[in-house]
Amino acid sequence: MKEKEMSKLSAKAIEEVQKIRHGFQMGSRVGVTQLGRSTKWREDLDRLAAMEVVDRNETKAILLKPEVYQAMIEYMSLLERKKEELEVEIETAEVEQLYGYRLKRKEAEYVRGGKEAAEDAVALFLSNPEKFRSPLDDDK
Amino acid sequence: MMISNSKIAETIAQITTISGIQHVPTDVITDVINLANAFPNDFDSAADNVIRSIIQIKRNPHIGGLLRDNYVGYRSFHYQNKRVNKHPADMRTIYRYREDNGVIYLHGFGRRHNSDSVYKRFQGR
Repeated sequence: MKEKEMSKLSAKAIEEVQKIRHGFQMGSRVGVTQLGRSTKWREDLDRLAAMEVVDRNETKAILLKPEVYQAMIEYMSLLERKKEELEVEIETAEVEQLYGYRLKRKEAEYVRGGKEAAEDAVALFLSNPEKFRSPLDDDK
Repeated sequence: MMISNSKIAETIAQITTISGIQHVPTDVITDVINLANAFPNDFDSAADNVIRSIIQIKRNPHIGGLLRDNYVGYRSFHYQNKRVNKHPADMRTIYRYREDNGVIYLHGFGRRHNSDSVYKRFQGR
């Protein structure tokens, strides 16, 4: 991701998201029963940013610090916007490749749609259909 | 299956008859022939959906996604060649809508992700 876009997220937020992206740290597990019994997990969560909540050795949930959750939402929104930008960039490049020569035409070259225009277009095609079709037929 | 000249002529007529849209006749002819080549077995459906796309654009000129850079103001509208659930939007219609006078210029339509060789051979016609 571009540096300029990343800078929209705070350095701290980026650090928190990177921690999550790179997986959980050792010792970042807390049992379901411990959540109610002790407060140590709160200190761990502050330090680790995210923890697995386990029940009978099976991960049942992921616990995130509120600011980490917020940073992740912002990070995902940023990725989504970037994806949309890239899609427009690709579409523009494809259209330029396929139709670029047409997009440079002058407006005067265009005719209004209607019955008369349709008759003219059909007459143009039927005057020499082979000329229009030949490049494609050669491909077969 | 090769699409007949009369079928192609009929489709050209249907597209160029649509009022409120400006076009270049040779471009429409080229695109209809390309469509026949791209969809030899589903030409009718593809042609119907091209016509439908132009009517949708006429009703709502802002329906297509905007292009960028040198092509600000130009739009690309994506749709299916077959109106089937989960069928990919594999077609596009390119146009430009002039807000100041309400004119819509049709620049092209056809299958997305075509091999460019066919189009390059038609360039400059």
